[in-house]
Amino acid sequence: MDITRADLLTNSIQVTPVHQMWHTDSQFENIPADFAVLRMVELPKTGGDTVWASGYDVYDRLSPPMRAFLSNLTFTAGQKEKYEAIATANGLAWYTDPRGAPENVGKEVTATHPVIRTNPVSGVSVVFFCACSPRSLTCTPCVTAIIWD
Amino acid sequence: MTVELQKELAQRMGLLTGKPSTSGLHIFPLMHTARQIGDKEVTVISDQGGNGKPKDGNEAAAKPRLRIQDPSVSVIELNTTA
Repeated sequence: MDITRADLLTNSIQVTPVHQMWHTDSQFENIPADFAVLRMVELPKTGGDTVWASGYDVYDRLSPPMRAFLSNLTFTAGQKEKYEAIATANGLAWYTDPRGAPENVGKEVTATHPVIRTNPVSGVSVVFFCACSPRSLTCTPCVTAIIWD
Repeated sequence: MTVELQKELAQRMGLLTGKPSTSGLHIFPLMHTARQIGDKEVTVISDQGGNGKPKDGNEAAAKPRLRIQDPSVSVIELNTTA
């Protein structure tokens, strides 16, 4: 598939618009990753295509009542249908043995996590909830609107 | 840095910051990564799409970039819990 810059900036059928691509890796796993280690092998002359955002900073910007409200919520992240479609379309096999932790097995790739997590080492809290697309939220419109704001 | 050293760095950082002893490095649930460099614990990201020419013998650069179609997280449900 040829992917052009224009595809990334418009609502192409084939690609997800860049503004809907914010995510935290591996939240579909019961035991998600602590961190990722990235290494640039080939550097582009200009630009690059990974932008980072701080969940700690998001938390710091919340009011105390909002922090308390969110701390009682969990969210469920899942990729099962999407991954099954990709696997079928591209002839990809599933890896169903443990994926970095004994709890990360099988093809469900769906997991529930707290919206607010506190780093056990630093004691610093983070907004762990990160959605790529508001259409995937199924909670009440009121809660959805508050969180997305 | 080599791929092996990079993996060692990730594993040691995790252990030093208190991850369970049963935890290692994540493996992506779809096996496109294994076809990229032959290591399940490593994901190669390339912006070359289907047009890139293979570099130094591997086919990483020639693989479509799945993440463009496939952000790693979709929130499907928000739960209110006690």
